[in-house]
Amino acid sequence: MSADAARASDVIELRDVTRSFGEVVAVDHVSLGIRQGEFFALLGPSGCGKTTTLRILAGFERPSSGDVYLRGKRVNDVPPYRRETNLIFQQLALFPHMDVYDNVAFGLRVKRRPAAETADRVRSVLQLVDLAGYERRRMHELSGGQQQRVAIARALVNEPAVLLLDEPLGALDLKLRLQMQRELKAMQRRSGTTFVYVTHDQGEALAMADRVAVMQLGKIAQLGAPEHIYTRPATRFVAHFIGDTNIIPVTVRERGADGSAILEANGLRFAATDADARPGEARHVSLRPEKIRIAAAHAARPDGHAGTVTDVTFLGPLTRYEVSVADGLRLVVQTQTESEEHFDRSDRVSLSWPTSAPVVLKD
Amino acid sequence: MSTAFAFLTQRRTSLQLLPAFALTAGIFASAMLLLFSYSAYTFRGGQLTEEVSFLAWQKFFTDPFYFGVVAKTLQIALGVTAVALAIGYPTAYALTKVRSSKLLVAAYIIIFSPLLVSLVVRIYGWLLLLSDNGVINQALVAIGVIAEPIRLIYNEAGVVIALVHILLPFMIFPILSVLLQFDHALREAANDLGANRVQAFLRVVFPMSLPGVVAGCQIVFTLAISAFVTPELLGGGKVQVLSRAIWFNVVDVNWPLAAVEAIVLLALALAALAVFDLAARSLRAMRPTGSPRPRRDSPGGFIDLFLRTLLFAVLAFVLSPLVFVVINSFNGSAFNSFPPQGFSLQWYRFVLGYAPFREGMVNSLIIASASTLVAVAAGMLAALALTRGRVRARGVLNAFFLSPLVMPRVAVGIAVFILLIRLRILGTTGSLVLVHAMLSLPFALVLLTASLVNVNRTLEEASMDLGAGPLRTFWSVTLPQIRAGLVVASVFAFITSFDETEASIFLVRPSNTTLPIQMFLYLEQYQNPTLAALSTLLIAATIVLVVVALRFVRGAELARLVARG
Repeated sequence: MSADAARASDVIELRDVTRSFGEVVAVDHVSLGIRQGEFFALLGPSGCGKTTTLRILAGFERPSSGDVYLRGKRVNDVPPYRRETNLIFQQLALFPHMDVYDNVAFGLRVKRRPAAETADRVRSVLQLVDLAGYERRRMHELSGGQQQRVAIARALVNEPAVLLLDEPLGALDLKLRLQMQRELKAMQRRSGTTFVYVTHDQGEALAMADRVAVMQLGKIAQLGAPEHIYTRPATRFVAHFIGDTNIIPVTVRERGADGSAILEANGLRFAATDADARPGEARHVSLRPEKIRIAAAHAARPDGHAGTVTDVTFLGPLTRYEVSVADGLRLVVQTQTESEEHFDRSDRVSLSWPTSAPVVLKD
Repeated sequence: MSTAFAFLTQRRTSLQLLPAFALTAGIFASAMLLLFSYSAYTFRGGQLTEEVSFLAWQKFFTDPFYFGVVAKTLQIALGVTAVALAIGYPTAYALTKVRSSKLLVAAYIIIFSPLLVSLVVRIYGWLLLLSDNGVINQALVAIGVIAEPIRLIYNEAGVVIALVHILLPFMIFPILSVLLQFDHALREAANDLGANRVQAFLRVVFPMSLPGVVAGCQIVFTLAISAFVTPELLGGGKVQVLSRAIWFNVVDVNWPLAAVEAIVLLALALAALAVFDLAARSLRAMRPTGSPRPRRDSPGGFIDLFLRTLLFAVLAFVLSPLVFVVINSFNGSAFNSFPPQGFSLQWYRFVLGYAPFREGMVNSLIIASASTLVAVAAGMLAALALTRGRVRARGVLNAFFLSPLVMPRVAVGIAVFILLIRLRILGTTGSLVLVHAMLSLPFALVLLTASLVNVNRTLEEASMDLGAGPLRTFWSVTLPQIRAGLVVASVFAFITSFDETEASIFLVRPSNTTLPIQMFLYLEQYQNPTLAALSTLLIAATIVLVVVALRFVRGAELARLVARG
């Protein structure tokens, strides 16, 4: 019942979708819903199944099992050219034998729209992507960023129910990539189109997406808003993949009535709020380096853990320390270079963190 | 010191260019110039005089007979190009869809095999297939489609069929190489934007393959307008094209008119090249933006079934004349009847005992070996100079060396014929060696340049740094790296000479007639399985040659070379 209610607001729904190529299972029983108008990112390392998932949505791959719904209609057997989705290809795949106008008009022409309507829609979409006046340019006469915008215009002009993007910024240099991230986000807001964006770059996903699905080995490891995934990673994989973190193997010692717990790692005892764990369990904890406070040993707080600095790396605005605490346990700590105290190798220090900082992971 | 060195290397570059330049300028360019001057001489009352007039030009451009000849030449060339394109494009497209690598290699070898087999052998095969009591007519009568044999040879149909067979590889290969580079993300993009398979093909795949289509049509058309042996042997004297007009005027000693006709043929060839070049230039903007991605999907269905069937039909078309030549060589009957009447080795015995063929074979082997040596040596030196030396006007020089390729062979033949008569060396074996070397030089130069460009110069520098001099470095480091190119260039040069008919027919004397010309002459008079036996022996020899050559060259290297060439 609740699944049906959710589907009403979902423009795309995957239900238990699997896609295997011979022995290899690229997409493994994935279910997810994508909401109308949202910017949705599929994030994961190469080979995690994110591109196959996208190609299933576009219609270039058929699920081996499971169903794909687009606007509530099952589309498993609908070929790409009859789907209300459009794909921005990784290498853009602009037609080199056509100019900007003909590229953008392509979809409307094969659908035999009247010429006047085609001209109007091409003109307005070129305005949207800021390429008015470039109609007669050939593809090799455009910069990387301009080609990017032609690809987006060529897709958006068809007013797709969903725009699918397959790492479209991968080929661009860093500066242009950051600029295009902002532009893409702005275009998405202006057009109100649902975007499904595949990337292996966690920074890109966090910066642009309303919701992110982190994929691993063909499965969805975690799905949620970027802040949620960053602050409350569910698994070791997600915690590692999104940002820098300390993964600490712990044993659960006690559990409070409020859901908090006392954890122990190599003789180091600390508390964690909101820990869904039973006493005696062996689990892992993610502790973000920027959540750890570092102080000189003589200024130790009562809840501080004594340690020794073993390595210092200067990163410009940030400084990264490796601190050995307890036996065999090393923690990475990150501080603001300007506003915080500086330490050297072999300095005796004390580390502390709020009880909300450690996240007890599922695995 | 440094200027002395610069002078030395400059001089070395010039010396390296000298042999190739001597061949091309000394034989080809002077012969062509002589041809132009002869077109202004006078032929009157059966006599050739050096009186300057433009009677030959006048006759050519006022006599409606010659207008008809030019029209027929163009008509046949257009027909051949159209049919070759209609067959060649879907064949190339079908080849890109073949998944099994064994089938693909077999298909490549079959499609390109006619290029390795003597022209006269192929035409003989078509005579067997197309004649009134040939395979096709017999089969059609047997299954009751027709009551009486239909005329397939000694008319335009036969000429067009045989020319398509001979020229088909030149159409397929450029189209295939463009299609293989096609970025299939573009087809997917078209599908994604709403184009179905047919629309995606018509709007994206086909327009993007046009450069290959233009290149294929250019080669086929240019070769078709100058074909001589095929219309001569299969046209039965009824298909009057320019090349045949040239031949008859040479025989009649009306050299001025022959020269005019050769110049017109040359002009037609150059005009065709220019027109196709113009078309190619307008397509040049079609460079893909990304790196090509291979095909991913494998949609089955009716179209694929059609393409697969067509591919097998084309392979059968290409192979059938050769297959029936081999079958007929064991025919017990003296007529080229099909099916063969009894099994016999008599034609093999006859071939081996027939003096003109034996002498022709010896002459051909001597001339082909010697001219290969000259062409590859001259080509190697020139390729070194062109890739390594500082050569001014490199492009012009390169075009000059390649120019014999675009000249109709018949025109080259008549021009060189006049030159050799003037030099009083017509009919000598040495002159044939040099002429064949000149004709093979472009192939050798292109192939050797392509392999030299690929040589890793750092290895040569390492060799010099370790104390090897330039010659030692060339021998121990450079040469091993271009071995594939060297083998392929030698094979091409050898085959070019061994198969040369259309120019040599003007140049030989009974004492040094080459094998293909003996075969041509034999075929003009007799039609019995003797030629089948000889052809079978030649096909076997070609297979041995190719197998031996392939032992030296890996397939991948070969494909790369051919693609560059």
